[in-house]
Order: sequence, then structure tokens, then C-alpha cells
Amino acid sequence: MKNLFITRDDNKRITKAATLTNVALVGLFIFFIVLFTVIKLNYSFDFSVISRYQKKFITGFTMTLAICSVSLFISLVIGIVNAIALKSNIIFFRFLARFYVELIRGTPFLVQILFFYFIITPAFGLEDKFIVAFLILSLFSGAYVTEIIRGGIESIPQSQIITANSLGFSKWQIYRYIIFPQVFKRILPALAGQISSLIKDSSLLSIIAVSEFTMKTLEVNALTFQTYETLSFLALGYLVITIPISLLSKWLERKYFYES
Amino acid sequence: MNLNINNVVKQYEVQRALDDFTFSIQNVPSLVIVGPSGGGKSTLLRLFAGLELATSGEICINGQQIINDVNWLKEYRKNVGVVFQSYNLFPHWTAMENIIMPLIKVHGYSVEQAKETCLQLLKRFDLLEHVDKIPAKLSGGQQQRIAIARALAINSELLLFDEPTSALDPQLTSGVLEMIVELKKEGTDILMVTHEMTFAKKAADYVVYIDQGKAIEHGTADEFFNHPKSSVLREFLSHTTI
Repeated sequence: MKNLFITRDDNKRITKAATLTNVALVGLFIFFIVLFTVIKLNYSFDFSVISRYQKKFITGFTMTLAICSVSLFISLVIGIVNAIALKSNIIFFRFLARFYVELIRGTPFLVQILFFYFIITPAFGLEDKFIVAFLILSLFSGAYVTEIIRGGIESIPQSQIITANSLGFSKWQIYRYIIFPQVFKRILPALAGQISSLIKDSSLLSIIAVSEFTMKTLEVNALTFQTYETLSFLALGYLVITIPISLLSKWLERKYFYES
Repeated sequence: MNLNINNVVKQYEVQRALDDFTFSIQNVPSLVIVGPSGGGKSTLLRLFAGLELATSGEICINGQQIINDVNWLKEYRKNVGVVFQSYNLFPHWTAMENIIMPLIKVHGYSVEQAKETCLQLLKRFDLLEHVDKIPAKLSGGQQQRIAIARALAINSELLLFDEPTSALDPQLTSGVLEMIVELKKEGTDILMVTHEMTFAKKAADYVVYIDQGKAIEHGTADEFFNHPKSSVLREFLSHTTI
């Protein structure tokens, strides 16, 4: 009986019976919390709201995917360029790259969105909200990608660089043929994690009324007041993307672990 | 090989690795550099390889003076084959890719030319079965032999070895050393830093003992091993098994 609930040995597999029991317990636990909120709020569910407003949900979800895909690509470019700039012989580039990374990583994303939206956007006359959304998200994510790539570059042993130098490879060729192919493989798990963050963080763009998934859901909520259904569906929508990515990331980690 | 080294100084931040180093030889096919760790041997080899700039002084190899200029050294490096202690091969490339990539990207070979050169070399050294293996699937000795083949591929007249066997188990060492002896027989000039005294005795034409950034003693292999003059060298040799 005790074995169903307690595991002592770290390496010991959890038995099937114990897994089932505990999954059921977690389910029950969540069920009671839901039940509590429903009773307390005297809430009556109407899930038809999801299908009635499916167009809005689909538009929002597609927009989130689109913004995130484009931003992922741009942030990868920013990350690669910036990671190289951090090692540049030109001191200005180094400092600029460092400053950018520290600034982005040191401030909340919400503050960056507001700053960008109220100051940069009008000053540069950027009117298209989607372009603004791409830019903010890419700049934000780019700083983290920079750090991931920098870590990857630094994980390549110095002896390889010396060997490459002695063979006559140029600095650019060393990056192109020797460092990046190895770095790319090593950082894939971390990068997958970053994609997951990017998708979740994109929900903050709703604050400047970019019509992505969160914004669209809030619209439905404002029209119907079916808060429970809409917000649960919103969370579910993000989980549908992030859980596979998280599994992929773990799989990549294991794969790399065995290869090295 | 001819070497003329005049008053070479290599100063690192706190340490002087080579201190007014002067040494010269004429018509020596294989030179072996020995000495205690931290004595300046590897620094000297890195200067020969064009991987570092001397702080001052003059180095001349086979009539070619090494110029203290980063861009000049980049060009110079392309034509000097170097084999390091370990991690010579790039882990993401197969044996063949390790050999052909420098030929294609640095020396402008076509892919076919490079592959042909590579296969000839691997065949010559009995390494053909490893052509498509990545370094992780090769023993340390096989990796070093492929690294030597890569150094040979660029047709350099001079090969530099920086303790090529010191990271290997003894049973793997012999294969690598046999390959180097074979190269010497075939007329490739060899300059090698090593702790393998047996090998030095067998393959070296000339030996120089370096300590504290200076050439303490040098001579033909026979003079050097059988009639050491300085007490430091006698001391050093007494600690090494031959």
C-alpha cells in the first residue's frame, strides 16, 4: 500500500499502479479546486461560446503562430549576429551587443512593450501594429537567443580553434564550417525551450491590442462574459503548442547526451 | 631543413617563454626538441607554425623569414602542416571531411581532387577503412594518424609535431611513431616536440634541449644522447628511460 505513494530509490521506476493512482489523485485535486471556484462564483458553464466564436479564436491563434514564427526567425538572425558581435575585434560592436543583451534581459518584457509602443513607434513613424509586434518580440527574444548561442560558441574547445587556425581557415570560415555546425546541435534543446517562452510571452502583446490569441480571447470574453470557458480555452491553446515543444526539447537533450 | 633563429624573445603577460633564444642548423632532415614542461618547447613550435607572434627576434625556416604580421602569418600557416597533442580532428566531420575540407576551403581544390588526394593518403597509411568514421568512433592513435595524413595533404615540405603521442596510451603510440618514421624515410622534414626519448633516439638527426626559454644544448642524436656535455642535460636524461 505504502509503495503506491512513496518512492525511496531515485533510480527506481515508479510502478504502473502507483502512476495511475497518483495521476488520478492529481486529477482529483484539480477537480476539487475547479469545483470550489465554480460553487463560490456560482458559475454556469456554456461551452458553446467556443464554437460560436471559433472564428475569432482561430484568427487569434493563427496570428500568434505567425508572429512567433517570424519573430523566431528574426531573433535567430539577431542572436547569431549579436553573438559574433560579442566576439568582434571592433570594440564598439562588442559594447553595443553587450548593452543590448543586458538591457533586454534586465527589464520586464511588459516595460519594453510599453516603451517601444509609446516612444519608439511614434518617433519612427511605425504605424503597422504587426510590424511593431514582430519587432518587439524579435528584439526581446533575440537577447536570449544571443546568450544561448554565445554559450554554445564558448562550449567549443579552444584547441579546435587553434587547429583550424593552423590549417589556414579564416575567421569567417571557422564560424561557418567548424563552430556553427557544432553549436547548432548543442543549443537545439535550449532553443526549443526559447521558442516555448516566445509563444507564451507573445500573449503580453495583447496589452497594445495586437490581435493575437490572448487579445482575441479577451474580446470574446468581453462580449459573452463566459470567462471560465474562454480563459480555460486560452490556456489550453498555449499548452497545445508548448507541451510538444517541451517534449521535443527533452528528446533533443537526450539525443545529444548520448551522442557526445 | 635549415633553421636560423636569432635572439627570439616571446613574452607573455608575466612569463617569458623564450628568452633571447638563438639556434641554427643546416641540412637537418629531422629535428627533435626536448626539455622539461614549461621550458619553451611548445612556444617555439607555435612560432614556427605561425600561430603566434614573437615579441622580438628573427626566425628563418628554409630560407623563408617569418614576418611578424598577422595577415602574412595567415597565408604562411596554410602551407605548414601541424599536428598537436590531441583534439586535432573536428568532431563533427568524418575522417575524410577532416582531410578534404581544408583542401577545398583553404587551398581551392575541387571536391573530386580533394577526395582523390585524401583517398590516396589514407590508402598509403592503411587507414582506408576509417574514411567515413567520425573521430568519436576512432581510437586516439587512429585519430592522430589521420591528423598526420591531413597535415601531409597540403604537400608541405615541413611537418611540425607538438607532442603528438603524449595524450595516447603506450600501445597506441607506436603506430603513430611508425608513421612519422616512415615519413622521414620518404624525405619529409620533421620538427617535433616530444617526450618519447626512444623515438627521439631512433628518428632524430639532431636534438635540442630547451629549458627556461633557451637552447641549453644541442647536437646530433649520437652526441646528444651518448655524450651530453651540460650537467642539466645529463640530469634530464637520467630521469628519462631510453
